[in-house]
Amino acid sequence: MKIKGKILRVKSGYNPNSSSVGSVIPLFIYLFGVAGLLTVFITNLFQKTDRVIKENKEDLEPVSENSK
Amino acid sequence: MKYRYENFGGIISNEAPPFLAFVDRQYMKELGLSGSEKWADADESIGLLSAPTEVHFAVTNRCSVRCPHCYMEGGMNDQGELDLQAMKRAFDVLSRMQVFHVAMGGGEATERNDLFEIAHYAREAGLVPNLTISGVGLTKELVKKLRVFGQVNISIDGTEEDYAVFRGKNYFEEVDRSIDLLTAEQIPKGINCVLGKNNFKGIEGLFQYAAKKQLDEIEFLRFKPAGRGKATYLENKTTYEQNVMLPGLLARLSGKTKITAKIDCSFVPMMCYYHPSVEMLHSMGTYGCEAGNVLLGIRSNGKVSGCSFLETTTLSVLDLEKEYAENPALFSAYRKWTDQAVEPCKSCTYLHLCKGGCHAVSMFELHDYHKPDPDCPFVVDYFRDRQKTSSKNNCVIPNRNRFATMNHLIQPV
Repeated sequence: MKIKGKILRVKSGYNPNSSSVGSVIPLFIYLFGVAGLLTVFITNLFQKTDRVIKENKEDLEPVSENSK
Repeated sequence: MKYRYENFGGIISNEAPPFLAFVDRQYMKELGLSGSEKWADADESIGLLSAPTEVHFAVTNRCSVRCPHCYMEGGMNDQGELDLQAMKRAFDVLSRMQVFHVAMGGGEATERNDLFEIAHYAREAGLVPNLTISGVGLTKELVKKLRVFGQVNISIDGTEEDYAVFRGKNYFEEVDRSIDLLTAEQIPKGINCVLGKNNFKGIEGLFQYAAKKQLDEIEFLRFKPAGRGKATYLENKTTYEQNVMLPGLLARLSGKTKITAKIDCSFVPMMCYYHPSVEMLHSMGTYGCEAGNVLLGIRSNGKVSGCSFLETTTLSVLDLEKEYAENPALFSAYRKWTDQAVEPCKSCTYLHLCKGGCHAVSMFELHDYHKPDPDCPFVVDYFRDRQKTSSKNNCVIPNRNRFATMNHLIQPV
């Protein structure tokens, strides 16, 4: 069976804050980790990210000439 | 869309919508990217990155507002502030290192006359510049130029009288007008709110304000003992009860107002207290202390630190590329903190995500950044339980405050 590439992690948005790194509070956190809801959230996030990357893959370029 | 290779595969950066996607080697191959010498590494896990993904650059220390809680002690210029040419060389270095984002701040970055030249140069060098400002003194002309930034955040610690809880002076009306100017120019924007004991009650009002102004997000930053903030840290920091309550409250208000709520890395222990799945948090790019790995701090004189709250090193950003590549000991105290973790962190499920909480707080309160964050609710509970057990065994530790007690108990392995 052909192995399919995976998205491992998605950091959404920018971090304009010049002192520390921000993390989004998942909406379902106060339900004390209802795993099902978070799984749906992550799956949607990854699918959306995958779609954006695949749609724009022709525009991919190294962040600098140093990329090797 | 841009990419760089990493041992696990690579990182893909997009601007609209903005994200950093960490993908495996196979995914990179499917995008037609042939591979890298970094893939010779047998370890394919996400750990130590080849370079920071973002750098926090205080482009000046000059600031007319001079807030009493400023972590940078903003006011006067740093001695040896980099001029425009040196700034450009610094951005060349960061570009060669393949950094994606630069969060510019200060001081008050807009008090630097060549701010926009610097920001445009950052763009030319392939970096995305973002900006945090006070919002004081912003004009229509200035706001038009802010389009060069990916996102602009304004520091607001609360609405109306809560605005002045830390600052002493109330610029809320002026800052409110600045937000309207940003909205008129359709600039992506958010709020940075430094959170302490006394403005905690204003959180709900801040969400209502953000919703009314159609802001993109609010980021809550833990008040930290750095710069001038050291003087009032102990009396103004959030309480244990507030720390425990915060993530649930933010999630509820975020859901209600549809405003994205973010917390900074130092509040991550408080989120972990809700026992979310570690894998889920990793998947969403939740970071605890990533000083010297995911991020670096740079002062306006070019001196580098693990993060903006930690003491600066003697290393200049202009020498960073070589040092970063050749000196594995660089920032190892933070990067490898988990190897030396003591209890209760050592046994904590979230150790490799949280990385011991805020080490700047540990350094200030316990005089040792190796010790666990004394305000992490897990840590507080652990030592309360230890004290109860000691009391039952007639081993009461007499007349010590909690932090002194912890100092006594938390010993390096």
